[in-house]
Amino acid sequence: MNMSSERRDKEEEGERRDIFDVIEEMDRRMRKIMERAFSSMIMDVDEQLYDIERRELKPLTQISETDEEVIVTLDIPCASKESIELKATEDTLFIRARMDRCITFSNVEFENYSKSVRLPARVEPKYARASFRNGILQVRLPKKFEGTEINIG
Amino acid sequence: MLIGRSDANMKVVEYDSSKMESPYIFIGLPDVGLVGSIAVSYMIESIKMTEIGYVESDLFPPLLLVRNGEVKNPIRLYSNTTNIIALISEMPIHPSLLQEFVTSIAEWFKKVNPRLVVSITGIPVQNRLNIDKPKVFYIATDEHASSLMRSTQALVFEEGILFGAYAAILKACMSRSIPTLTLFTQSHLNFPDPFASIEALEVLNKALNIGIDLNELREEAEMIRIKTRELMKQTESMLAEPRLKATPTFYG
Repeated sequence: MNMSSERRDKEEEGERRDIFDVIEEMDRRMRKIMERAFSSMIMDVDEQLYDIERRELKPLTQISETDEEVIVTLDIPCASKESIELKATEDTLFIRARMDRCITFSNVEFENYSKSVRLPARVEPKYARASFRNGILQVRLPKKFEGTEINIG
Repeated sequence: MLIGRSDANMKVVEYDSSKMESPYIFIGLPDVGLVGSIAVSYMIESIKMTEIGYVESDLFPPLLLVRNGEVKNPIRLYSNTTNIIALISEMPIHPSLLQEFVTSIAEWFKKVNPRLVVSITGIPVQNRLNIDKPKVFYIATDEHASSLMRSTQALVFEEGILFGAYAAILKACMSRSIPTLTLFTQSHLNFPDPFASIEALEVLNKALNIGIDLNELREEAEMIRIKTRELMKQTESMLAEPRLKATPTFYG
């Protein structure tokens, strides 16, 4: 079918349909889009929060930035402070922690938290500081200064 | 065809419509720190309320919850014999559905004729990590509610901007002359914050004498934080997106 006949068919079809059909069609399409948006949201969530194979929970994470620092905050309730392992490179923070009890979701037992966090800026991992309070871990990583000084002539 | 959509598409379904004498209605919806969700679902368990209905709409995603082998709607109403009604949602309400949702529940509230509608939510503070006892702020739209708050440590919410589900409820109730009290407790933004919920419930215990034992909530706080992670994550994406970005493509 070539372009022009396709268009003609569409026009004829358009004449046959009255305004109510159009509205109904729009309504149906809108619902479809919304349903898809919702289901993809729920799928994403699962992938972000659990690693079923490795039986690890991926903590809720908040990343913020100041001019000097990248601040990563992780919610790790039930984690024991002694078990927390933290490692950082210039662009990634890796955390692993053991929980003080076993948590069961959908018949899977979870015992550890684990997550690698991609940082929004390059940092100096050597100078990072971390604190742990009420099951919340906060890591402050100073940004790496990579520039050449400019003289004002 | 589009006229009357809101009436047709969202409604409160009651199992038992026995009338209550000017009840107190407590609302806990997924929002900042899940402060309201955690507080109101704990209240429901603690004072042993029973399910009296739910909010239904064919605009909602096809989602049902299964709890102990029982199928549940995500937005439910509970009550007990002491004139208390609770409304909770276990799914965040999409901004595009908020108006219809709020209209349908406010119309139902009007029918029930409550003494007071009490909304519980959080107010995000950056240094929440360093706050041991979060403060509770309130907005009261009638004298009765204000006088109740004066006997507590809650502070008047003096200035700020409200948006989202609780702002919509406040607005819908005001326009129907339904008295409201909204509690805002300092909380984390996108981590579940049961300790903020405890502060809000303490204020309500004092003001309304509802006698909710908060010990179990204190003991279970860490587990609650783990169990509500998923809801928090779903809610976070709604908090970050007050408007539906895809709107133009609906018609394109």
